[in-house]
Amino acid sequence: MSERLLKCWILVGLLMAGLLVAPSTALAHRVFVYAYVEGDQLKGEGYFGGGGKALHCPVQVFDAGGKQIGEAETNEEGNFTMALPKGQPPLKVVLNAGDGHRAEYEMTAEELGEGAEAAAEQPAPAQAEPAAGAAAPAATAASGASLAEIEKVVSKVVAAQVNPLKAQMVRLAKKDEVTLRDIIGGLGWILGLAGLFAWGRSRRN
Amino acid sequence: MHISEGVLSPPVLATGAALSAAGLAWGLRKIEVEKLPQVALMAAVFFLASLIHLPVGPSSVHLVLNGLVGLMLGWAAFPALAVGLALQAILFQFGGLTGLGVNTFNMALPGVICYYLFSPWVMRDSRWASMAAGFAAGFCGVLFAALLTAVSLVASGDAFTSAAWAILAANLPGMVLEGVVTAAAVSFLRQVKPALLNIDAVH
Repeated sequence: MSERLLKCWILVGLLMAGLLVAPSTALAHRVFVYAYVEGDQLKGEGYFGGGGKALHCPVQVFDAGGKQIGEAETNEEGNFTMALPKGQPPLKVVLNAGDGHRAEYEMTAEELGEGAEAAAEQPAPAQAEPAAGAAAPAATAASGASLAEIEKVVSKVVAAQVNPLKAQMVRLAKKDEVTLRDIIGGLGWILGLAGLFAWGRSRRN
Repeated sequence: MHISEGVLSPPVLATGAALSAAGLAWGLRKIEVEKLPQVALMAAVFFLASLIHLPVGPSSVHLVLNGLVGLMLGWAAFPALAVGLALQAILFQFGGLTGLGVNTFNMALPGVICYYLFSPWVMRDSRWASMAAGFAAGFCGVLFAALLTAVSLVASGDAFTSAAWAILAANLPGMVLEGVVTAAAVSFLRQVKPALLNIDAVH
């Protein structure tokens, strides 16, 4: 009897230990990917729910038509960098963590905007410059930098400041944690389905 | 082992859904009303087991318990795991709804195989024999599920050897862990409530 009781407690202890470990590493097997444009590069990060980094995972970029237009691999920190691929937005960034685990991130034209526009519109400010220069030649000459150059530097600095915030927002929106509500809701569903099944059987008999 | 959305090809998804539907129909017929609470209980256990992560080396593995569910439920493992997986997909975003058929089949069939292979041994008089059978059921439940996962990926176009070996290597700690946990559960149940271990009368 006492041996049986002891085993009871060992089992309970094991389960408790498991549950204590659970929150810290929970969802280590759900993978996420996030990407952003910085200048003429596409950068991003792969990570597992709970905080682990996705190391050495292949990353592919597809255009709206499903054609592969870019490729990279995450490094030791789970980050990747590639030349900004040109293609019809929205682009799809796909990270494959092996074992059937895969994450996708869609980049809308809006998100691609900064880099794509900077690349595409570079000639435009140059054309606009003479007009601006004609209006206020002193101001441009005094600063020693063209409007386009200032614009480029400012957008680069702003992007560097804003990108970490964006990454955080993506994480928040993608809810990578299981809450107590999910767990209790699931148990409730199982109870309900069992009740439904029993009810169906009892009607048949 | 929860294969994500968008990894598998449509023929593989369709095949998995069809096989799971067949297993589900057969499993539901096998459930007697008196055994229903046990099926629901095991569905709940399976649903929660995926949240219990244990650190193994640099990574961590989570419990699957498909071997234990199979030992206790036989063919009723199909409905129990289908419900558990559907709720995991909806509430935890594990796997995905399109891959539900494939994932159900990949985890429930090993459970049923373990039931046929090991449940006769679990009820032996020797405690060691039944614990060994429990370990084998836990180990093989994950092993077979890993093999079926590899087959699903290969059928969808992955290179065979790399996929198979990566999955087996990644799941080896999980197999041992499952074996230990299932052996402990079997040893516990046969002393406390032996009726739970052979709920299905079919052999």
